[in-house]
Amino acid sequence: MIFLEFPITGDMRFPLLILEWISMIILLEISLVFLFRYKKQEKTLKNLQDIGYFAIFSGFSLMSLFYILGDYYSSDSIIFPFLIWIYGSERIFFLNLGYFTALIACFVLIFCIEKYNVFFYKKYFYSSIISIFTFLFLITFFIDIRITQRFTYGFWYTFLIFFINFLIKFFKKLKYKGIFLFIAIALLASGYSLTTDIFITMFGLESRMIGDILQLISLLLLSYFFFTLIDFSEFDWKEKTEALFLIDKAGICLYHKIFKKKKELISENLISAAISIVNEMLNELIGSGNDKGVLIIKKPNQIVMIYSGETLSGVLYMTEDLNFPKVKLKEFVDKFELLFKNIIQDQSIKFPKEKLFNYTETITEDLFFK
Amino acid sequence: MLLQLSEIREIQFFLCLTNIILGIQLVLFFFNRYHKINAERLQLNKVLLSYGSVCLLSIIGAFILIINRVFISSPYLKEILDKLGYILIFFSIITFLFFITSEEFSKIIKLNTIKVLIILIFIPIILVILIPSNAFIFSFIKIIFMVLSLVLLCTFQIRLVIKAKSKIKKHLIQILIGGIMSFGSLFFVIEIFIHLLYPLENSTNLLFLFTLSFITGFIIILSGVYDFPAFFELNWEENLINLFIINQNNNSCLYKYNFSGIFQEGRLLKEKDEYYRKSFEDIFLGGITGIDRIIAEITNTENEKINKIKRENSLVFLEYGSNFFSNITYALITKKDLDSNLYFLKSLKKKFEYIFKEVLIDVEDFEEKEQLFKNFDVIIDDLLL
Repeated sequence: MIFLEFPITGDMRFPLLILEWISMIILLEISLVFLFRYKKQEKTLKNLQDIGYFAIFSGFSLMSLFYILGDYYSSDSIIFPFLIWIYGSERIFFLNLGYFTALIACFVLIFCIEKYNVFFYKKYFYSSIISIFTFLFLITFFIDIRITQRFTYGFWYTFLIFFINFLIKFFKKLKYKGIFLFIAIALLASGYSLTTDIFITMFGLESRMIGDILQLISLLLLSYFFFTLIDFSEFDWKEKTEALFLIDKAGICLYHKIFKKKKELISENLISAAISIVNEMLNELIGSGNDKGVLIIKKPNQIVMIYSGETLSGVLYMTEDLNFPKVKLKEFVDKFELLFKNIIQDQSIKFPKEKLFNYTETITEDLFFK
Repeated sequence: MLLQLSEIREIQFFLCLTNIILGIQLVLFFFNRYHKINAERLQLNKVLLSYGSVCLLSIIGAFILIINRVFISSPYLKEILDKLGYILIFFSIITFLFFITSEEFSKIIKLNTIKVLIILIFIPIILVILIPSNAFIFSFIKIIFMVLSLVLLCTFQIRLVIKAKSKIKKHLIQILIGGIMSFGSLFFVIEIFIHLLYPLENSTNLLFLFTLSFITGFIIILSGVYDFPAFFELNWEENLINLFIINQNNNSCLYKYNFSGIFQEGRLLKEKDEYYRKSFEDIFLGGITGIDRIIAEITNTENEKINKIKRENSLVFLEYGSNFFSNITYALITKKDLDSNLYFLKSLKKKFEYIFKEVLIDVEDFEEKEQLFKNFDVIIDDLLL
């Protein structure tokens, strides 16, 4: 057992500090990439998951800064009274700020992910648990800052379970890149373990040095992974798309496609007429003005998206309110109008109308299946 | 025993290190963006290489200077590293100028001026090598040179912003603002902190301020580089004349667009001399296909297609449909031989095939083809503006 003294001094101090500082900056850089990705997304496509990733990486960066301040620049000796507490130390204070930052960052990430996904049986299941831990942490923080660490164990376990749950879902879509992500996360986890007080008291600061190097390698891998990853908005949406309709201003169904075989619907002509009436009624009631956005009608397990173009309207049945399908629906209607608006409007154009269906099928394949 | 620094020195070092790491990321972004958009080797895209190289060498130079100041105690090594750091910073301006020595940049800065500047920059480099780093004249040269370099970079960037149009202008303005903040801060970090204020322990606040300014500048530049579009030649759109999309099977025109109507005469005059225009089109459509066949026959290159037909005052760029659409020819008539024309034509081809691919498969079944493809006007307008 090695006795640990804070702030860390000696030969290892400066190299360790350099490694940890670099890791902190890289975390900040990754977070900035997510922020830019979010900012540069099309307005209707904006995905809060990117904000979640921004929060987690910037939060962990800030947490690293607090850990650096706690381990390298603060004393561990207990002072009484300490600021607003009866007992406390500078190091414990900074570590607490780090824990709190991690709690908030993880909460934001989980909330943003759960906005688009349901884990277990209930939406916002993990967000609720993390918020309870945050609440308990805050209460304990003001009572005694020396015991808050115990609450963080529960929080970290919850986050770990959520993360494994999420990764299982996420890995399927990543294919070979999933292995890359797995290696990076394994390195990060093992690296982090080696920097904890338990390992340092067993193996000394050399353990922390190896842990820092592993984390740095992992962060470089993660940087590459995230810089080359496609937008998160493109995951999952296909599984939640149930049916597509294209209707003209008179409410006649020009085309329909059922994506889920289990989905049982009444006649497409009845649906088209009904949607058309609903759309008209809503325009009268709440007005559409010049808004070319997608109209969303929500029910507990069914979302109906309606996008009205100049001459046609597209309708999409979804199981969740996602952003990306809105863009696809808009693209579908706009493309159809661009292709066939003249033909639909101008009856004198000799166009083999029976081919319309085949073309629409190809557009659907292209936009919704590829 | 490894190095031990006072806490203040450590914090100062880490603030400098932050600038260096962020700078390296910026370099990666510049080079990565250049790599992504440079499929057609547009000359003006090299401006990203210029920015990237100036960042890379200045950052490495600054890093050497910081390491030298903080860690090195041997006077001999200190002298060498000091000179090396500044040579790299000075040399970064040469690389910046080197990448903009192509003809296209002459509309912004005269090529002869660039060449003279490159030669002139070698003078301070030689002086830095010859003069001892602790001499007053050494400090004088480097400060004067760095200020002049910043002025040069700003002047170039401002002129580029003035000449640029539409989306790219916004990105260049962001890079200009971010660049002034970042490089201005880096200059202060190198010169003020490393040389003048280093002996003072309480200079940390100032350094912290400059680091914050650097990070802000860095974020602004990053925003400008993140989705930097392909940089077409300046005013390239004014050289466009006509676009024809031809079905080679029957020499019919699927789609046509008259650019001169927009850029010279105004859209309303597009229909002027309709008879002349129609006869020109008929000759052109059949002619292009005929020329292609004749040349293929006489040169025995039937599997290869003509890409460009050049005359003194006009050119025809030709592209051919991919996969199932090999019977479609895209002809762009222009006044000048610019890389942007080819890039533009390829973008048009990609869009046209993407939008109309379903229809193009059996295009010959339709009689009213021009009506069918008329809506493509919207896409062209969007690409041009």
